[in-house]
Amino acid sequence: MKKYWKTILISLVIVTTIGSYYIQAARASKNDFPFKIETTSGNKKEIENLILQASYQNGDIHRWLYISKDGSTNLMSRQAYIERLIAPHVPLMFQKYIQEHRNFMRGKELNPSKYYEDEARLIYTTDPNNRQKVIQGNLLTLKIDILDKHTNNSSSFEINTPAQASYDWMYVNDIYVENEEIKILVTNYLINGGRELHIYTVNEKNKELEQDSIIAKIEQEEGVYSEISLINDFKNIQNENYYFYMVEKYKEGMGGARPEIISSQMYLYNNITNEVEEWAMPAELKANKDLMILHGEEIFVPILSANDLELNRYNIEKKQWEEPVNFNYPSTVNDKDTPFLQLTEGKLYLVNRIADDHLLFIGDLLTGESLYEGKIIVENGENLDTNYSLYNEQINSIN
Amino acid sequence: MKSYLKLVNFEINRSSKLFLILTGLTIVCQLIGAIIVPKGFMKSANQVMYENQLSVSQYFELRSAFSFSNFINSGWFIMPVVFSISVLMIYVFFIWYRDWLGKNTFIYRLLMLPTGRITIYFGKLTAIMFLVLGLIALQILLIPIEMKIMNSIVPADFRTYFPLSGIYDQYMWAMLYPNTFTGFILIYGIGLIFVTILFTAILFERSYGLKGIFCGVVYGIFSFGILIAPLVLAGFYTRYFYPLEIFLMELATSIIVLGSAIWIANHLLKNKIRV
Repeated sequence: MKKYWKTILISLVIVTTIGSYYIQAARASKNDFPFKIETTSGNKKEIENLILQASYQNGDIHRWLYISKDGSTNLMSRQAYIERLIAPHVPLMFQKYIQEHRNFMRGKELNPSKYYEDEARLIYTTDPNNRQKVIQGNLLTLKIDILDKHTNNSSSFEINTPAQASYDWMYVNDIYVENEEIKILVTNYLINGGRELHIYTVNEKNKELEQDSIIAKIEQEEGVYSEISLINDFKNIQNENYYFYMVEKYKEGMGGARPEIISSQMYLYNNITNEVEEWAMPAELKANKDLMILHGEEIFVPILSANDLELNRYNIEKKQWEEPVNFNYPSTVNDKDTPFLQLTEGKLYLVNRIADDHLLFIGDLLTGESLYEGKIIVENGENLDTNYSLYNEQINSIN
Repeated sequence: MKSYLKLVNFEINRSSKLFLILTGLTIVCQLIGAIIVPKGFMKSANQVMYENQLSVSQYFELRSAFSFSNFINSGWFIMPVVFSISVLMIYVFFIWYRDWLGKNTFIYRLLMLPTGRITIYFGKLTAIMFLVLGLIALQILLIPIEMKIMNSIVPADFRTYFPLSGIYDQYMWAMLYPNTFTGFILIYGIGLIFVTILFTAILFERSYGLKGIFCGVVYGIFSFGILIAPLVLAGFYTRYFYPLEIFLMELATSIIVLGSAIWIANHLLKNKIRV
């Protein structure tokens, strides 16, 4: 026994140290930055199934959090590198798909903009040519996979068409499906630096490309920076009746100067009639154009102040501005920070910084009344540091 | 079993000097760093504030606060770690060659022991893992002490909130200390397999001389290839395989590589080894 003292001692130290380290790590991994939602007023049912995806940042500490009424959980940043190599993170909305259609989901990108779903089917498309270069005249390939949800059978087909120009790469923004027509909204990045926004219309029955239309285009110009930005939020996988996008040109600022805007046009593409029309924004709302939201058949332009939010609304079908909706919240929000706004199923979700916490506000879009109000707070007082920032990414409701 | 434990103890005793040198160096170097780094930060902060007549809050508009990661990413912390890793790499070879090239060919006696010769192999393997895990444990013990030292030097206003769990965000740390036990087993399991491959390659050289070097290299590359094949496959067909499938494939290849390394080593030690 005496002979072995060194070995025994080192073994004990190793086992206890590493053991206690992992016990602590396991505890911390559940929740080392605990947040929770504290109801101030309104109906608690509103947050029953809500999950807020937020990123927490403090100095050089960064965490991804899921915050719900029961508290918060950490994800991903807590996983070991080696595990991440084997098991990359699966976004909330795709976990269900992978469980239900394990084989169909193999090898597919987990990005909602590449999917369309209805009662009967799940349709998926990848970026043309896997984001590889394609030279004018060579084949551009669109690949479409269709899953019949009832029978769990899937089919897939490819469509090859000569490329109209030379593209560096292409990116699928959305997929729209209506009576046997599949429309794919693609941004094509030209080799010479320009950009095109395409809609490829594919006939599902005879598996042919019916149409390739360009709905916006920018050219590379010296000293000018231009951009096509889509205002739609393509996080849901149902059809969008309208595509709302902006084509902007800036004079490139010299040495950190603010780029000066040359032109800015907004367009609406109607997916039912396949028509594009230009949409003009009233001058008094221009300052808030970054907060614009397209929700169903309406364009919302929020104007924020410390105690209320005015939602200006434009009805696309009626082609007119309606009476704005006003939401009042008793807590004074910090109107310097950009709030997080999300419109889902006729409700407004707002998260904004107030003093040391964040306000979570849910309102009814139709009536403007407050449905719920709460605070997202740090759960225990131990963590006294309030220099953190919490960026909300998305609010999901889990049914 | 008994002879295995005796051999392990024997190998650990032989390497205890090296272990003490490495731990001593790590402790001294990191503790000096834990004092110098925050002191340097405070000195420059005070200087800037004094020269420009700034208040604390004005200072932070110019510069960032002190964080424990300033230390973790400094040479004082990293150098001993890197040094220890390199020394252990060399030791993997040394642990075998010492017995041949030492004063009196010790390997004679080892091979003559009335036990299976593969026990020698396991003994040396265990000793290496011991050294690695010993240093890993030491670093875990040092971190909280270093944090305490720094927090006593830098006033709270000058540093960012950095809980103990914040160390997982440091790249260097996350590589060596996976923050889940599964990750830990995976990374050190892979490490263990690497060491067995190296050991077997060394035995090739000890059995066949120059030809053996070639055999060893070929064998090493081949084993490594098999080991990473599932990962390459999974990387090639992005997202095609689900985590559990990759894990099972990896487990299978690991068992194959580990098993064959031990089997070959056993064969070489029994029949081919030259003294």
